Order: sequence, then structure tokens, then C-alpha cells
Amino acid sequence: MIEAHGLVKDYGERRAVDGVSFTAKRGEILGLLGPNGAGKSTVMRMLTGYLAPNAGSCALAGHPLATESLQARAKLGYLPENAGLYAELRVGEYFDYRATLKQVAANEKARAIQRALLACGLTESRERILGQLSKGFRQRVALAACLLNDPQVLILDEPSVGLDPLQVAEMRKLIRELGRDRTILFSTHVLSEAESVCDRVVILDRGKLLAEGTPADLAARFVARALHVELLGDADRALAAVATLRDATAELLSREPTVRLRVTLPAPPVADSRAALARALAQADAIVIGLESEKTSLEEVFARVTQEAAA
Amino acid sequence: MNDPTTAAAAHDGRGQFGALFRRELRAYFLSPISYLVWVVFLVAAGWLFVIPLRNNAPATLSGAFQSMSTLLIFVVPLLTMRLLAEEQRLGTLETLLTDPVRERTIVLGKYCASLVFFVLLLLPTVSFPLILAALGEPDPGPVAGGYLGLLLLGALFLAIGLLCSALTMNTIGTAALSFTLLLMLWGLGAAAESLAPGIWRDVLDYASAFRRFEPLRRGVVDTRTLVWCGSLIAWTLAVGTSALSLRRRR
Repeated sequence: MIEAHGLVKDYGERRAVDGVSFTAKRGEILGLLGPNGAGKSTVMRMLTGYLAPNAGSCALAGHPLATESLQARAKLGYLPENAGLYAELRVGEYFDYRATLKQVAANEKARAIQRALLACGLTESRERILGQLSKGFRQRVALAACLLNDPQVLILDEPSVGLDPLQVAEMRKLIRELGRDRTILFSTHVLSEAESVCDRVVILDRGKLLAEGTPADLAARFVARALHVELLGDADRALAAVATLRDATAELLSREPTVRLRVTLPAPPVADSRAALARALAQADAIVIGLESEKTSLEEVFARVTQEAAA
Repeated sequence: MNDPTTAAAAHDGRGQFGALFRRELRAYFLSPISYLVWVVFLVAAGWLFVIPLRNNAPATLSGAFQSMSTLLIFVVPLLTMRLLAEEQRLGTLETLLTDPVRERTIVLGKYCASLVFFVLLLLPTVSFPLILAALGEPDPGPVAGGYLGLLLLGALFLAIGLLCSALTMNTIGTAALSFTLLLMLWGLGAAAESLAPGIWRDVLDYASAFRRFEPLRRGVVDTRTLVWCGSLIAWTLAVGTSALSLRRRR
């Protein structure tokens, strides 16, 4: 549905995007993560046909942007970062204008507009003037306008920037609903947002794609995960036992009423390494009564991935 | 192309043109600058029409048409400066260029809106020949020819203004660039007048839009002038369309 192959974009001397490839299937919500200036918007602008890549190719719904741009764009809903609106138009008039530009058939238009208004909770706001709307409302209008042609592909550039927390939650819910039968690519630099909404993420930094996978995959792959161990026995002997394991470190969290340790292993804690840990503790006469993986946030993954790339 | 949707796409093109045209024309009517330009143009044109009348000049509008042509150098850049630059400033250009609309539909929609507003701008000056008819007996040929010339000149200048808007994507930049280009066109005509008859004078005459329309003001309609003007407008709009397409390759 969304295909990017070796996309390159130069702004003068500076290479903004450097050989980025990824795909997203139907029914998939793909998050494009990266710090500000990583090249997220440039990638999106190439995918939407707003910018032509210097090298590489991309396609939407099977239509290559280079040769079938109009057909590709007919299947697309694109919300640019800081999407602008014509201040003088009313919400309904703007939707009528955009629906025409999006080639919605005349007899379908009223229904398409009603559907978009409903999806974004704007049915009461049809007569309001765009120039007088708040930032959150404007963002909702801009998103609703993307939906007018019932697009198979949605590309949303930082859709929740500038919204208040309640609106952010609504926006995420809407994206999840829309993603059920569409392909959605959305960019964010808020990692918790990607974690809660995306099926899969790609991490972009300084124009390069650094990692790709589900948030859980990435966490397992890039961060040596820690285990929280609860045991009955002598804390010092337990710490000494952990120290005998190669490259493992332990930190004492509490002695009473039970001993709690935070053990960091060099590799993701698969069954083998957990077994080795339990055995070592048993030899030190400690009885393990709890063993739990520590949750790793995408923040840690992100920090690790970008640090590795810089090194 | 054997695409069964081609006919439907052509139909959509017309619908899209209509939507773009109506929005643009409406923006003209909602912009204070439009009214300011309108008032200043009418006051200046009226004044330039009245002055010769006070000196018992013959009942012609030749002078008025000439001065209105010159006024267009100032008026047109102000009318075309927002056309594409405003989309850039508002942030609506990105949705416009990623909706399934051809660049030429965008350019034509905006151009036609500016042309209609320009015709409305000229409309009140129709009172000039009516006043003249009340005072004397003006020859209708030169009056009709003069209006045709003014319309064609305006249509050409608007196309140049739109091209400048596509090139600079900046309001002030568009106004400055189109003003400079129109001034140069005017300068070519003035230079031609100062030269002795010969090849260079002919070349400058050919290039100068202002000199081209002088026969029209005498009531002489030459098909070559119409073809020259029409093809130059088409060429300018085509270059404007290409400029808009090439923005994607920045």
C-alpha cells in the first residue's frame, strides 16, 4: 500500500533523506519516529508527490508517484504539518471545495462530507468560519478534509502537535479506528504516542533509517532488558551469586520484607539466561519467588539506537 | 491512453477548475487590497480622462486608453501578487499540490479569476465613452478597439504576474518582479519610439506590448495582434505551469 525504495533527497549540499526504504500493508499503522530535523516530513512529502526524490522511488496503492502521480494522489489523504486553511471559508464550504479537488463525484459529495464531519466530531460546526476556529478544531477540520475521498492511504505529519491532552487522546483513538481498514503512516517525535498507536515503527535519524519493527521487537533487540527478582534468602550472597554470571550486574532494591534485586543481563532475557540466573541464586540458598521482565519504553530504544548510530 | 477513467478525469478537471476559480474570485472580493486597487485605479483613470476634456480636446478616448495602459503597470502586480504566494503563506499549497489536481488546472483557475476581477475593475470606465457621447460625437470604432486593446494588454500582464507568482512564491517578490518586467516591456516601447526607422526599431516594436496595441486604439483590428497576444498569454501560462511543476524538484 505504501512502498518506499531507496528514497534520497538533497537540499543543496545537505542530504536530508539518505536511502530510506520501507513498506506498510493494508490495515497497518506505521509510525515514523525521529527527532526534529530527522527528515520525517521530507520522506512524507516525497510519498505524497509534493517533492520529487533525487533518487529512489515510492508508490501508493500500487501507483508509482513518478509516473502515476494523479492516480496515487486520488487514493491519498495527507495531513501536512501545520496544515493551512482558507480563513474566509466556512467548514462546509471548505469541505465542498476539497471534495471537488479530490474528485469526489457530485452525487457522492454530500454523503462524503457528512461522513468526514461525523468521523471528526464536526457535525455541529459546519457553519463556522475557519479563521475563527481554535488550533485543535482547525487540526480536526484538516484531518476530516483528508478523509473526504475515503482514502486507502493516510499520511499524517505530526497530527497531534498543538492539541491539548484530551484532544490528543481523541486523535489517537481516531487514528486507531481509521487504521483498521486503511494504511496509515504517521510521524511523531512523541514516543509514547507511537507505542500506543502503531503496529510497527521505523526510526529515522539524520536522514537515515536506523531500525524497523514492532515497538516490542525493537525493545527486545536494542535494549539489554533488566529483570526484577524477588527472593527469600541472604541479600549479599544473592548479589555475589549474580556477579558470577558473565556480564550480569545486580542492584539491590530492598532487603525487607523480601530481597528485591534488579538484574541487568547483557542480552535479551531469553529462557536460558533466566534459568542460569535462577540456578546461580539457588546455589546461594536463595529461593526465587518472583521473576519479572522490566518494561522497556520506546524512549530507551530510541536513545540507544541514535547513540549507536552516532558512535 | 486506454484508461477508462480518462473521460471522467477530464470531467473532474472542469469541476476542479470551477472550484478553484470560485474560491479565488471570492478571495479577491474579500481582500481589502482589491478594493484599494480598484478605487485608486478608477480615481487615476477618471482624472486622466477629465484633464484633456477641460482643454477642449477632440472627442476621443485615445489619451485615456494610453494612460490606463500605463496604469496597468502598477495595478496588475497588486492584483496577481497573492495568487500563489498566498497559498504558500497560508500553508494551503501543500494540500493543493497533493490533491489529485493538475498544475495547469490550478494555473488556469487562478488566471481566469484574476481576469474576471480585472474586467470588473474596468467596468466603471465604460462611463467615459458615455460621457463623451453626451458632450460630442466620438467614433465608436476606436473606442471598441481601445477597450479590446486594454483587455488584451491586461490579460497578458495578468499572465506575466501569475508567472512571477509561480516563480517567487512570495507576495512582495511577485509584486516586485512583475512590476519590473512590465516596466521593461513599457521601456521597450518608449525606446522604439526614440529610434530612427530600421531593423532595431522593428525588433523593439515587435517585442513591446504597448506599441502592439496602438493600431487598436485607432480602431484597426489586426488578426496578427490577436494571435500574437493570445499565443504569448498561452506561452506565459504554460511556463507558469512548468514553474509550479518544477517546484516539486527543488
